[in-house]
Amino acid sequence: MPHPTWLAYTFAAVMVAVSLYCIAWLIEATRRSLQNHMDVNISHVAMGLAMAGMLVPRLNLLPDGLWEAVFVAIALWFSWQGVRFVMHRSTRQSAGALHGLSHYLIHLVMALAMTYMYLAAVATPATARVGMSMTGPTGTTANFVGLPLLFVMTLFASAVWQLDGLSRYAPSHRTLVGAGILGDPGPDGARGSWETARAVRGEAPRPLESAAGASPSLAPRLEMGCHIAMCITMGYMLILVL
Amino acid sequence: MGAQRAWRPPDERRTLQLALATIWLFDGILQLQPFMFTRQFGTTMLAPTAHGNPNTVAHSITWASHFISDHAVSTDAAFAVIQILLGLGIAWRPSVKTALGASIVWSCAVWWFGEGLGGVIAGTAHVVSGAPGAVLLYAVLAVLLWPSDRGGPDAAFIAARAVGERAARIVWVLLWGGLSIVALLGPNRSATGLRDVVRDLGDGEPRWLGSLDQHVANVLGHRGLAVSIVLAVVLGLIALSVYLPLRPARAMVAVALMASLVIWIFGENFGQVFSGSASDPSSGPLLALVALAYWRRLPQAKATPDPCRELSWEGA
Repeated sequence: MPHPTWLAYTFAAVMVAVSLYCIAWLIEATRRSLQNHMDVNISHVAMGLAMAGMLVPRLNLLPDGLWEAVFVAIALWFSWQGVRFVMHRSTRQSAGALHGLSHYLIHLVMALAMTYMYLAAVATPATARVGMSMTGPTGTTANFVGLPLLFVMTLFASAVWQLDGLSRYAPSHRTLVGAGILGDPGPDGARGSWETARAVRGEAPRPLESAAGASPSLAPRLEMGCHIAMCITMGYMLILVL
Repeated sequence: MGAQRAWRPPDERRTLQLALATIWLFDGILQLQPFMFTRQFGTTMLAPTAHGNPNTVAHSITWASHFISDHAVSTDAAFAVIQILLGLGIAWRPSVKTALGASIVWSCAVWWFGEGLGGVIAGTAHVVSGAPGAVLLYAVLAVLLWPSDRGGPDAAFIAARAVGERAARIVWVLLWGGLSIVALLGPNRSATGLRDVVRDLGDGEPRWLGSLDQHVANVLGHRGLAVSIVLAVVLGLIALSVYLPLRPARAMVAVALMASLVIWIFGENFGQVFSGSASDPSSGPLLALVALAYWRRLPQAKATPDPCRELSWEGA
């Protein structure tokens, strides 16, 4: 049963927009010599363009085999980064460490989900040459339909988690009222944390996701928005191949 | 211009709200499946829920299902957008109250027009297949997870924070006690009722899940009444456990979680999400969320201020 063309176009347009934004982000970050989240944005570009191509075949830039290789490489990269992160931070149990690890894990899941879609989905262009009739998995992949469900729930949980965290980026011109003072215990009982101190100074809290790297993020709210859009679109496509 | 308080990591209640938001988001995207944009959504999924309901209810459901069938694309797109917005609204702190409030209204409307009141009045409700209507549990959760502290931040369990311990206990007793009663009503009492429910789930499911259903149906065989009685007793004990002391109460919440999981897998086939026509993950995950909201906290555990309330913008 083919999905509506307008819906495929809508999601594809969002993915192209996200990819273009991420390319612009990468150019600006390179110009400013910011290294943080480069890998994330590169993977977002690849995923966005690949999903746009899956939704509207004429937007497909590369053969499926090449896309599979790209996403296997991305999965290996985030696996390696995650292992390195655990090895270097094994003694720390802070919230920052947890978020740093989840940062790698979610992008590993996204890369695996993309690989799964290429392996499982049978793409047949619609008669109007737009839109993709994504059918259920065939062959051996039909025995693993629980896997995309797991991917979907992980992706949606990540989207929701990111949206919850969006509020942490307070515009810097606002004055904080009632923010905890340095001696005021936070929700985890910590006193005088960097986050509280920054809050009192009226600065935007440091993004926890940046714990993996030392340099600040560029436009973190837009980056999170891109991640949310990517998770929802990927979840939608995975549901089509359930 | 206004000001903002420091952002706090999600506490226990906020984490459950986010889980609820995830399920709403999942529901919204399920509504975008190709099947939902066809006339069949209205004629084969919604219209049959009218059967057995009182005339007034049945007529309203029939009218709604016809309207949805005649405007399948626009109504389904609207349903999907509403549910996605509910999920995102609960996840975004400044809009959590609005979204939870809207989710209560939406859930009640869907329970009426989309689920035929869960088959409770019609007498077709099965505990193992989503009674009293999965969507009603969204409304219950929205109330229990409402970001207020009427019961105080140090309440015995999360659900008691919003409505107070007494009211929260009553909700628990009504929910699980109601399920216990439903387990002994109508088709649940027949010798083969449960077997038929489980066996019919296999249509359109992956082969391994169909095999599992067939196997479970064979095990149930003609023992439907005995299994229903055991189920009713277990659910009844869960209902009463909310008045027990800390450790036994925790044990029974664990039993409730297990029961939710068993119902979700064996009775609901993961909400039949692999069939291509599921509109929600059914009641299993929601019952589990309700159970988690009643996980008894240690007396010395102090709750943190609500993170959403911390994020209130002051007026100019």
